[in-house]
Amino acid sequence: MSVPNVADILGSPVLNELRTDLISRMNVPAYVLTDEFAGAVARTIWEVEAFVLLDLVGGGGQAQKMLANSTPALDTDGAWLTKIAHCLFELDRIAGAFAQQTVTLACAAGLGPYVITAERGQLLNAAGQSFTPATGGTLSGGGTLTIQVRAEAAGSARGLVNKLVTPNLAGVTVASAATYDPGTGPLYGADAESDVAILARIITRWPDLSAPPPSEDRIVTWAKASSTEITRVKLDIDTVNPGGVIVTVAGPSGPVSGGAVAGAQAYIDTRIPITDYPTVQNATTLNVGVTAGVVTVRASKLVEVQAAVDAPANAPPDDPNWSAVLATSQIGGTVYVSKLEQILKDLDGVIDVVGLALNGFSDEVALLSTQVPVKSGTLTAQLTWVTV
Amino acid sequence: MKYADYQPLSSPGWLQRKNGAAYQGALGTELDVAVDRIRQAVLASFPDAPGGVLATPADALDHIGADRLLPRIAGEAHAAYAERLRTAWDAWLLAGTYTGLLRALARAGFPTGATGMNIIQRTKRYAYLSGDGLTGTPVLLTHNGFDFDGTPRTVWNQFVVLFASDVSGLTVGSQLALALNNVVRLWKPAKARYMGAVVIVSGVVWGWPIGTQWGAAGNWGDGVSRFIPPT
Repeated sequence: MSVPNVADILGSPVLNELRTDLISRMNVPAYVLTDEFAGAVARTIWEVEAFVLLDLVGGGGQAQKMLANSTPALDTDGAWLTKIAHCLFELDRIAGAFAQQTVTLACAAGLGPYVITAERGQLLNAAGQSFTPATGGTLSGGGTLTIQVRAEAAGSARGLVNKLVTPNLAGVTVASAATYDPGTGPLYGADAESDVAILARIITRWPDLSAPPPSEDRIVTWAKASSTEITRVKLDIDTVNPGGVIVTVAGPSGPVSGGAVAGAQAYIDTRIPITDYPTVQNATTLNVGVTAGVVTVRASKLVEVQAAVDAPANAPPDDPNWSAVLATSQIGGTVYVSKLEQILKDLDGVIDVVGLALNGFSDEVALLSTQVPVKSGTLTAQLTWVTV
Repeated sequence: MKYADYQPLSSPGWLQRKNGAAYQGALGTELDVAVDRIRQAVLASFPDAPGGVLATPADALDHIGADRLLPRIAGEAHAAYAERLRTAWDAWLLAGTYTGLLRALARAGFPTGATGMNIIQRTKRYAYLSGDGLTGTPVLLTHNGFDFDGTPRTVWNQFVVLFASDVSGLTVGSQLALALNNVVRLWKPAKARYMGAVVIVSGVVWGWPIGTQWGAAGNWGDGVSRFIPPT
């Protein structure tokens, strides 16, 4: 017996196929069909049967819809989608929240007192949404009573309560209402997550298979994910322990805290495959300062230029400045004098830059394997400024 | 509308009288049963136990477990198993790690703790599981190098499972040995080479306990161990 394919299993018969199938099953020696002309009893019954069966197993029929509910890739909605999200994707539909408001009731003089009881009664807003008292109290004649009310259904409220429906109290009106935040829920209530929204979360539950794999090493990704302090990571072969890797971490301003190092080690250890041996260590610093250099600048721009060259990393404007270059330099990388020269020459007002040197080098400063560069002193003080 | 109602209403008037309606209603009821069976069949593929109450047919769980490569722990309650299957993604996220393999072995019934199973990798690290196979965490420790087969240290992608005390029934060719090898093969990193399991039956053996020095804890020659090769 051959194994049917999915198309065979899910194939949807048309009405004539069902008729043919039914009549072939009914046409047995014990029950020979002799009156299968239109209007006859047997003919009518199998016509009805075929018609109803079509509703069950035909295209778009109940059976097909039911089977389609086993996967969100097909036409699924409502409770089925909630079930699929929960059971197959570990995602729960975000529940709606109940709107809450503070309502002040006023009672005309000479009437009352009235007792308002929590969880009893109904109030409405202009949109007709129904609310129930969450707190109660006694409303005296000529006085006011402030209570909290909660929407009877989850969803975003479309307006403040303006009417007390029950209990029907003579002379009682809604004097004012305001949104209320008890600190435990949204102010205005919220609708439950829509089918479209949860389906989108299902689809993006994992990265797109057609997307290229990440180019960043997973240990680098894990180290950065372990702490916001860590922005730079460098991997080196552990020359002492075969198969090991030394993970050097740093932040924008240099080495990170001991807690961040320990956290990164624990975070990576939880995820690293058996037989790997990563060791996380902190970066070290190398102070980098200008040891020679003459900048010719228009006199009217001197103050502005000096402020720009010593601005902190990523200070506005967002053009890369010297601090940002050092803060993003790769651990164990190279600091190029030409980069500083470029930054200086790009500033409005700078006419020329000559004789630049960093730490005594006129071309580049090579960092040791675990070093990150740290700005030493200010360029304003270290450079020689000539105004014209 | 149920087919029990729909089918009689789809019939001509003369078939909607008492006997005809009953006949057509009976046929429609069978279709309702079919619809319900289809619905239940689809629902049976969803492991779920909201609030600790099992909502999936109990006998479906083992099939789902086989599909998700998460067999039932001996004696595991239906609802707990359903929830574990529902959160299978979390378990498989740990595949290849110490946590993943140690927990899988614990769920299969192998002993935990320092005196239970220890995974020892060739370079520097070994670990045992503190806790159970569901939420236990590995205790990571270090050694100064382990040699499993005399190959150079550059062949570092090797590991063994060492049981620090005897495990009844874990002998060469036993069902337990087969289970051990299957779990390890399933949960180990693809790149790592499993060298087999060592069961310390008694005494002190070469290399274990780690850190033991000459003359400190009895004679190495007196120790008895058993090796379970990988399959």
